[in-house]
Amino acid sequence: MQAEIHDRPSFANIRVHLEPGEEIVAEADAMASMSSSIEMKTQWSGGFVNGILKRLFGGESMFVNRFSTPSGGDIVLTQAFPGDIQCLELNGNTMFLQPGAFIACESGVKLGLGWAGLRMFIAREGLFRLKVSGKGRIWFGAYGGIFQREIDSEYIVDTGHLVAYEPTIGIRVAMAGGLFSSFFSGEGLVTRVSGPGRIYMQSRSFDGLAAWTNSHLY
Amino acid sequence: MISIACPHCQKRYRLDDKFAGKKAKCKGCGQVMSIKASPTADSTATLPSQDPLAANGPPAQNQPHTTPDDAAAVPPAETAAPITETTSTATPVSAVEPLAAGVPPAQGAATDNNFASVGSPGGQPGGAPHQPNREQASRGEASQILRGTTNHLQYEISQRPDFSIVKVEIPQGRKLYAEPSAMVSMTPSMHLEAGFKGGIGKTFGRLLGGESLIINTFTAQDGPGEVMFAGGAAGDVAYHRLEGNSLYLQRGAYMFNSEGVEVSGKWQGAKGFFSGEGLVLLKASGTGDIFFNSYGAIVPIDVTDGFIVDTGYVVAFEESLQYRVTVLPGLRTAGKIKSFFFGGEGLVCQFAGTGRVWVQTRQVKSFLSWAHNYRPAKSN
Repeated sequence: MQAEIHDRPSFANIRVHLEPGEEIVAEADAMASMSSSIEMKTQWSGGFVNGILKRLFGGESMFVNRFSTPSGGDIVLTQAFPGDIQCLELNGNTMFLQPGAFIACESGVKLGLGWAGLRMFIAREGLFRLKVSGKGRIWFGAYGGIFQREIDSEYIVDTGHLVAYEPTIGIRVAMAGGLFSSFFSGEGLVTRVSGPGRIYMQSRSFDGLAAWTNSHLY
Repeated sequence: MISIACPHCQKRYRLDDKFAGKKAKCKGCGQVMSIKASPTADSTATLPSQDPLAANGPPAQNQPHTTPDDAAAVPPAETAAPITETTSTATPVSAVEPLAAGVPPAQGAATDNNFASVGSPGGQPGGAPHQPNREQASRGEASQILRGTTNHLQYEISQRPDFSIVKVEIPQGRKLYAEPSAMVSMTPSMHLEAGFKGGIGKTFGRLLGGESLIINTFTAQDGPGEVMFAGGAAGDVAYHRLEGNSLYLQRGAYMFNSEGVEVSGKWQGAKGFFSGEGLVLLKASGTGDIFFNSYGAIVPIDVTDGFIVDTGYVVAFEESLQYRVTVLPGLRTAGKIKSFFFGGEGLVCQFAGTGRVWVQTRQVKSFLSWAHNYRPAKSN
């Protein structure tokens, strides 16, 4: 399966060429265009229960679409917001994705739902997180640019900027500063990530966009 | 013909051969430079060509520029009084040496182009020369990464121009002051404290300037620290080094500054009042670094005579410029009524004098009115 990410970083999209027998699984809304030779099958995302839970708590759609072809064809996948898309190759390892980040994966990847914890819920990061594991490539997107960072010891990330992280990363929700500072600094709660491991961050956040827009509306 | 670039602001000049070895005052920034015999324009051609994608970016930001280093590589001609060359560090070149008598001014300035031909929006008198990262460019990055080191901090602006993010490293004990919500991430060695900075007057001044009352102070308490800042909107970040002079910032443009910079609101009087939302300004002054962001890409423009910018597109400008808010000259003939129907869109900022203006390539007001059409109709 050939897949390339085009038009980075603002309007990144994935162009996939499928050969007979190959499959790609994509988020319900992700398909922008495809050859007529491609067949689409909608299914529950990770089973019925998982699908419902994902919709309710994970910020993801409860369905995924499975694309296959008898004769070969092309398909273009996108995401809802302007921003970059990142491809990851899973080789039996696991990765956690923040709600809404998932776009597509190869059929060898298992989509699961992981309990993120009540603390993450308080930090408005969602009660659940998407757990991708197995073998194959996955694509996830972000609002803004995506950049990764190796975490050795500890690092502080504003909530809303974390996109994906390895399971070795420990996550703790903390206040940005003292009580007064956390409340008035506009940073509020932050996530303290501890390593070793890799995290992916986005350079913009939805909260930031909302705040910016609201500040200009009189 | 000699082609030279001002080592301070990168303004280009083309001069007759007879000026070789003489000194001249830059029309752009007022700094004295020596005119070298050999053309430095060639050195621009040796810069690695940009990724083709870069052509999609703002034109002024992606042009290769003659760095002060390149200029310095040319053997200096004999001059009446030696002038300080800008070095690759950020040591400020503060002293403007008086012009020696008999030095011809750079009259032959053939470049009518007002656009600053720098790859960085921050090439200013005495500031750090910002080398666009050539490795990144040759690696096929769509955007240039701006890096620099100053007396206070080390910075790196990446993912330009659409989703710019700034990484700042400061040594232990140093502080950064930032607008609320600008922080993306930081090392645990940084301590964050929110507070009203600068007393009541300055605090409310900032409110007038469209900024928050609160200023966040980041202190590198336990060893050197690193913070990343980003704006809320899709846009670029620009850097400017203040050397005792002042910079005016448009509403919402302020991001963060180093120690030594005072940020306060400035009551614009009638100027600001009549311009409505168009021009509410913050004033940053002192000696230090300031970073500001835009909606859209940022185009730095070196103004030498007069220049007109729509008030909604002004990001920042140097204090050395005189400005007045006025109705677009074409509309003026029809009287105030016409400009009233234009809904304030005819208001422009007319600049005079010499200095730099930073202009953004998108306007917030236009975006909001465009987006407003798609909002559910429940407004009053």
